[in-house]
Amino acid sequence: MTPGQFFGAPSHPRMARSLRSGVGGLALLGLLHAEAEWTPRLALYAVGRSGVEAAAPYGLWLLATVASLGVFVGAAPRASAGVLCAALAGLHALAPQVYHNNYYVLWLLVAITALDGPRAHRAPWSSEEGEATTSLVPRLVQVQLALIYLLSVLAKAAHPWWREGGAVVRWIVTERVPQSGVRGLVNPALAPLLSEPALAAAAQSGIVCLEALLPAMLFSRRWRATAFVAGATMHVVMQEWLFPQLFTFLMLLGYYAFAPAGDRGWTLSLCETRPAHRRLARALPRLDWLGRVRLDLRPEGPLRLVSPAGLAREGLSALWWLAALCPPSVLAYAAFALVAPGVTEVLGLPRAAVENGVVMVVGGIGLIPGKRSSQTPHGELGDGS
Amino acid sequence: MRPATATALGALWIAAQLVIPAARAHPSSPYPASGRFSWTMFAGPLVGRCEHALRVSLSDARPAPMPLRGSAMRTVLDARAPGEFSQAVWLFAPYADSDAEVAASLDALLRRWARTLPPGATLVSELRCASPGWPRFTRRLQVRR
Repeated sequence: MTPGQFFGAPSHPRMARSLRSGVGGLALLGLLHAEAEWTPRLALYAVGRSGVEAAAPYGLWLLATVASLGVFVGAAPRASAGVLCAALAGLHALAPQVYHNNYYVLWLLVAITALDGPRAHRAPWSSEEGEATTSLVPRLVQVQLALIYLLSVLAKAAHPWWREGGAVVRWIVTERVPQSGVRGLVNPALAPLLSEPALAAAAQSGIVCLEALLPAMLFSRRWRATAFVAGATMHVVMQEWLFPQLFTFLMLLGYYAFAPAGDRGWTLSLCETRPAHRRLARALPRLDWLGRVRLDLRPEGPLRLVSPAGLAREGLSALWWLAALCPPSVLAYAAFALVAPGVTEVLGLPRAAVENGVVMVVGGIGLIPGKRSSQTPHGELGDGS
Repeated sequence: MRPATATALGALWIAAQLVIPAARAHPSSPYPASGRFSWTMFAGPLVGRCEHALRVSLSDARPAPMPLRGSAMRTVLDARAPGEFSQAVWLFAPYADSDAEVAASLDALLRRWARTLPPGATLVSELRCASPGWPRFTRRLQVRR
């Protein structure tokens, strides 16, 4: 494939709209979550400055938040994305201490959505389909994800600490997480294993190898489904262990850029006499931003989702796979982790432990195997073209 | 968008992504890659392992007014041992690439804070850094109000 064929390939308009609204939603959540990190840093910025100077970063923060809402709902989306980029750049130029690599990833993804796509936005939850056209947004998001993994491998390879087999992983489990005060469930479970030098070295090499392989796997039709599972699992485990927060959700959203759009390859069978099923049928067009699911209303029968390959799942397992097909599930996960950063306890339990527990239970549902269905397959999983 | 425009923009995007980390690389340093604009946790230089000695005196021997306990400024001023100081560095010099960069950010902060002290106050700050992999770094700052 030549660069022209790659960047000039037509893309379903739902894809660019979904990525744009997804990035806008994550920007909004990230800027609300930034309160915990930015408030003490901006307090330092304000020391010895005039009132107007001290207030300026807060003004830019507010402007960025309003612009991110515009990107999410599709109000002048390219202009909103431009304003969001300018506000974040201005904020970082004014008060460099608020810089974080998470916001740099966010900035790049917002900039990508500002580069291309219709100026007049149709939200991904609108029913209009449109025709496939050349769009840079999905291709650049794909390239950005690959660059993030590859540059991460290079940075690790250049770092003396990462070259010492297992040293970073051992430090994380024995010092970094215990001293951070985060009371999650993952580190106590991993610490006895990963404080062993051989296992720590294996885990460290495994992370670097996976990051090195993921870009090639994501661009390969044959390995894409495996890359989705391996990459998403890696990001969810890292989130529940080390809480990189916004970075996790931006990366998970980026994986949708490799998925098909508008293929209606999955079939969701619902029973039209059951109120809960009818509610789901009404909500589906607002959740299925990428247009992956074909609705099949029947007079009776269970909630059932059949994959393009003919694997059928029912009940909770079907709902889990439906959520995995829909980008708003990343926003829901992000909201669960990022909203109200000052809340450290839920019902008397550490918030980190509650998040870990909920994610483990929800993740476990996804492991329920599907059964071979007699329904005709409609498409292909992982066809990103 | 025309395919040719898309290709040109795509190529520019990739080039920019490679130029930014390359421009921030320090091939002769013990940590060649910068943590800023990098995509991995715990891969920037290890800096800020410093002892910080701070004295603030007023002309009439009264105790100097300190920021409220629990405030960000007080956290920085109270961070004296290397462990505490390296954590406080994240408040005023995140992703610093060297101890000299940490010292420059601390100097700027202390100079601004000194402006809030009563006239005649003297601030003396001594920083001694021994971050792993780096040569020892020291600096002394004296500010008179």
